[in-house]
Amino acid sequence: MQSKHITFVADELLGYHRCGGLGTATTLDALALAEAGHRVDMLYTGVGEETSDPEWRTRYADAGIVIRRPGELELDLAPAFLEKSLVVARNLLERAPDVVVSQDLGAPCVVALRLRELGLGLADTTFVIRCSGTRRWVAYASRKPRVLPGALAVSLLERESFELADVVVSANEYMLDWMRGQGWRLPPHEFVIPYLTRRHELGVQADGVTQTHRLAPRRLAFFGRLEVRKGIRIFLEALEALDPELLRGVEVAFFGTATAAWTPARILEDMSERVRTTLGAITFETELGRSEALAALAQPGTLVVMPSLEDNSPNTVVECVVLGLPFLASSAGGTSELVAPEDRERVLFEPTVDGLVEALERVLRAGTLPAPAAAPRAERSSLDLWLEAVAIRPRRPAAPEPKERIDVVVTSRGSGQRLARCLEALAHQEGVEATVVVALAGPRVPEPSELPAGVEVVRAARSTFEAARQAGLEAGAAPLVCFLDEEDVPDPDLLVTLARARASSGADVVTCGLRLREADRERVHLFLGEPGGLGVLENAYGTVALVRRSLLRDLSTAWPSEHDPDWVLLARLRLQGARIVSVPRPLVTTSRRPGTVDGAPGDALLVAGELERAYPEPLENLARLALAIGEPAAVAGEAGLLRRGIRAVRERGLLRTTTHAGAKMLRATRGSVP
Amino acid sequence: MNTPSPRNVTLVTGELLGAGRAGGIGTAHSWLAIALARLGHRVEVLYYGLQAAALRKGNWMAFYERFGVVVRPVLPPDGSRKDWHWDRTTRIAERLVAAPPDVVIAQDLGAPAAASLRLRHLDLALRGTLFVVYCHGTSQWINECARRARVTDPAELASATILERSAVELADVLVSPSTYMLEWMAARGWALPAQRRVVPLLTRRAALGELASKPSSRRAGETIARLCFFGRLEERKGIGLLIAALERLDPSLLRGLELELLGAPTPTWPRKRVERALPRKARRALRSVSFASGLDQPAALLRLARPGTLVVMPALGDNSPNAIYECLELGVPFLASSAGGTSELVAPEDRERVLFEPTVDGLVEALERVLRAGTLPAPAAPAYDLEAALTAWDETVRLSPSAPSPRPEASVERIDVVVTSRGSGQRLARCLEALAHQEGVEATVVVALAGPRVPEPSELPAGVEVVRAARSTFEAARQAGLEAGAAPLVCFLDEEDVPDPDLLVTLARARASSGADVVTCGLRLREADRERVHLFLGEPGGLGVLENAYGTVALVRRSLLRDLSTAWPSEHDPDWVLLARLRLQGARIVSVPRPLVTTSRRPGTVDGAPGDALLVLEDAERALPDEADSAARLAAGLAAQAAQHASRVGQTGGGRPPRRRPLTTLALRAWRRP
Repeated sequence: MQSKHITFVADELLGYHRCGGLGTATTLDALALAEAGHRVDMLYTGVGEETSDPEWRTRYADAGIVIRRPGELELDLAPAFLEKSLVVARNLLERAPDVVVSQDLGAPCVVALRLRELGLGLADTTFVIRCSGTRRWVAYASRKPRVLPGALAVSLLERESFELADVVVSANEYMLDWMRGQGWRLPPHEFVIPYLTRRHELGVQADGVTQTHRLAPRRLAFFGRLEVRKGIRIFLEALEALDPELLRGVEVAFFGTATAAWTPARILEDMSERVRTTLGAITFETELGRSEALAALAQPGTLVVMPSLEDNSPNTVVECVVLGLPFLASSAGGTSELVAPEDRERVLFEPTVDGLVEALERVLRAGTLPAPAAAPRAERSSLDLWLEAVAIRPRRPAAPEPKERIDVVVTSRGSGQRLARCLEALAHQEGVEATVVVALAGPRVPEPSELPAGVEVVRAARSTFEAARQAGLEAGAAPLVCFLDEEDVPDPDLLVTLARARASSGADVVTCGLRLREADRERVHLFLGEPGGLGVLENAYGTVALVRRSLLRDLSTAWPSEHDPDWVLLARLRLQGARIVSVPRPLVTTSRRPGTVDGAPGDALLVAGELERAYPEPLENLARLALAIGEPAAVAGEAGLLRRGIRAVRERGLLRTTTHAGAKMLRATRGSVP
Repeated sequence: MNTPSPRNVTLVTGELLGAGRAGGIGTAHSWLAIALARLGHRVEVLYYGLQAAALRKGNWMAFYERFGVVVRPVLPPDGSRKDWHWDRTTRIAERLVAAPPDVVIAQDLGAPAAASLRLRHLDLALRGTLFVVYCHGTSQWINECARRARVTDPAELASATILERSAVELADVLVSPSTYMLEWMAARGWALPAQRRVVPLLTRRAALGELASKPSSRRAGETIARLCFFGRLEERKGIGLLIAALERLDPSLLRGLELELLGAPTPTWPRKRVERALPRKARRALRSVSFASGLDQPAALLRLARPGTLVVMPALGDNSPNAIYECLELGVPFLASSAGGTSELVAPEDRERVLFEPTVDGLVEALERVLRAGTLPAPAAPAYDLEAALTAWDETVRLSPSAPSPRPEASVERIDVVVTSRGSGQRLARCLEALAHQEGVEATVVVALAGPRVPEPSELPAGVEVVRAARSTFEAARQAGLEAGAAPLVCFLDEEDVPDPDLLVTLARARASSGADVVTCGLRLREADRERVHLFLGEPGGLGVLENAYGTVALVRRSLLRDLSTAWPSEHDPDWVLLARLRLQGARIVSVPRPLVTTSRRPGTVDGAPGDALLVLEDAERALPDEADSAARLAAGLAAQAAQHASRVGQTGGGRPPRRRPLTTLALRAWRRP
């Protein structure tokens, strides 16, 4: 086996603050691969500078695993949710590992993946995405439709990560099927690798079966966070539906963290008096650590009940299987794949009240606990599968040297000085053949007094962006066109980078990041490229763009764009099926801010009009509806928040403004990841 | 020769001259009413605006009565109701149904005739009434012209737009003062009636029969003394355009001229803002800048007719502006933008001279041309013939309605009624009792017991079948009930529902008349201490992802109902999920705008039933193109967030909910009128 340099990217690790299932899986996968002879390091993007747990420090050191933090981004960035991914990419570019194994949640490697797709680095690095459940899946499992723009943008990035990666590793088929069902394109190599979690770490034998199952069930133990997704409501309704005689004298215990919505007090309140008085006892253990909880669950006579509505690969079930605890679990999600086929009917139930009631009735009437379930027999060990996964070669983007000529159309509205600066920068473009056309926007724009050699001038009859661009477009013939404004100062490698990215990715349109000049500072603004429905709220496609000429015919719009003609143009192209990618680097300095619904409502309406033409009739007013829904602060009329909100959105755009909410949701949902 | 007999004509409008500040709609309807009365028809006006008191106080009722026009105020809707526009249109429908006229002429904005038109479409009333929708510009058009992307209540605007479109599509005749407006609607895919007429607005002179007298016109060649911006101070009327043009104009052209802004200021453009925005060099050149607002029409026209006055009307979007009619009639020299329907009012030979493109360039060129010449241009001639307009209206009101003819199968299709029972014997009995009194249809009733634990009803009316679903979900119960029957039509009810005696026959008749696949109806919702009527849009477009605006109780073609299962059981409103799915599959849904069932089951909303909302969203996303499939989730997420926030504000007593303004008031503010 050839030893590879493998970098794990995760925001949870054992020994660090707030480690859940994701961190446990990541840590144990890394340890296993390190112990198998690979050179493993970890790029830790979570909370805490280093592990405070000496045991884990030693374990990592013994395995030769170096844990680094990616560092901070020392610039002002929009949208802020790309910050983590940018610093990760910076780190990976410096070290160029052979393999990157990244969590899916939060898409920490999306920038790195995009750079690779665009031929801008990491060509020899294999990217493996380890599924623990994306933000979209978490919302789905929690039955939550409430998603803010920033969170939705992160969902798009998570999806993009899968589509660009080489390998996906999932603990079960369920998650792969779920993503396919959502219409996601998965990487060419798929692996189902059960968590190395308990077997590997605890060294527990495969058949760690105890004898407790012959006892009578004396305690029903709800095991999981007290929340709807973990089935608390189903559990309580099942208790109400059961024949009281079956419950007489039985203890009910709740093992799991309380939540804001479901506290012990609320649970007791929801239980009918009949149930409360029939049961032997009702207890709550909401503060126990994992091992303490497991010890308590192992007490004789305990039937562990895990009635989740939806789960990926719940550790709770894995632990019960490994430790041989009698249990009943819902068959939702990936749970059934954790149980041997011959045991499923016995220990699993449909995730409904009926399903749980039937299962409990069966056990309680029988008067003995069910035999513990075994794990399915694996044809190959998880470690073997991992070793195969990390040996996959990366898919290489086609990277022919870009040869196509480019016409650069610079719209001039009369500032000679700015135009000169823009043209000067264009004169220093490296590595491509480009013709520059200055399009004077309207009859009153003065002719530039001096022009570099070879620059053509055309004049639009009207002073609109669209007219100027149309005039510039018609003056050229190159197969690729790049529209600039006199405000823009392109970096020397703008055109060659865009061209290379286009050649590498095969995209129809390539945009890039900006350095936005504001009153007293400069900030970097990057774009999603293909923002889906978010594109109606702000221009997340790009501004400076390299576009195939064949896509550009009639640039006119229902009314002249007021501020951001690129927003309207790129939305239209995207809706006509053009593929748009955005280079996650600033390549132009400008003061032209991307349009937002508050800053350029007329442009937003034009975009909504384009979207609506693409929507099916039953949903045709959806874009306009999304556009029209104001921020909560505006609806409630809370002046202070409203002022701040409006200022924030106008200055930074909606996506950036809602990032805080997105980050907050990310932290809130992490606890639900198995 | 037979003299055609007069028609009973009812105009329906929320604006009227004498009722506060009447805009273009009020002016148009007022003179139309008088003109029709003078042509011999019996005319009444159902006025549903908020200024009925002003009508009485100012003796305007007597004014109208002098011409034989009776004005009948309609009680305004309860503005605090969420569905106040439904409230209004149903009150109007009640009045029309109680005394059906020969002809209804209703404005498009606000869709006051929507409920009436729908009742007629469903063959439930008003068969013999001709419906004319008078096109002045709908809510969507107004917002687009104003470049307004965000509104206070997006759901309300979406509902209003849907109703307005529905009214336009169901009318017998559309009368528009411009071809432009008809084309605007057609370009957006509205299915316009075959009968469409372009009839210019009737002015005062036309209405009062004073066409023979021509007012004296300005003399061409007078020296220009002042520029008069004529229109509300708002974006749509071109205040921004004027200011931009003044910035570009050579100040020497303005030297010594007065600038008067004749029109009401608005919250977006108060007088101070206009003053601050006027370019300094223009101000220095001008002799004076003055503002005049609050003038009635005669006073305003007097100002326009002052010697040396060039009226400037640079609107971004207009239908058939009264201001143009007035200038044409008075022979006042003007320059106007060619936006919208304006150019249709001006004689072709004068258009180039007096009209300009609605851009800064366009206005600057026009002003330069005139100011350089130094003298007023000759007044333009009108392109319309008001005598012909009167005749056109007379002919229009004599048309015959295209009443729906009921399909023969209306009376023979059998219906299976599936009642889901969840165990309340009393409620079930009440529901079944009400079903036993259904008139006019052949229906079989099946009681579907939702799950293994629902007790069998102790007594059942003869002929009622009972089936039991294996699971306790809505879907399972309905599936069991569906499979127990074979009738071509199915109606799902719940034990909570108490149908009116004419529920089934009304739904059947509506289905036969409209050819719809699904017919729903309104509800009487029982709430804590009261009952309120809840109506449905039927086909709500994107709004359907935010709330169930399709319906709950529905008559559905059996052939559309196969597999009723969902990814997870609906929690609250199974009809939302079912009807959304049917609509997305292309089924046509209409909703009877009458309550036909009393129930406590509230329709689902994204906030109240997030699990159901997510089921709807998943279906919606599958129907959307990839390029924008996240739009549904975005809209739902924003709406849920807004609802949560609003609810928090309410709970903390942070303030009353925002005062709801009727759409007409909002629209009036957007509607420009000096």
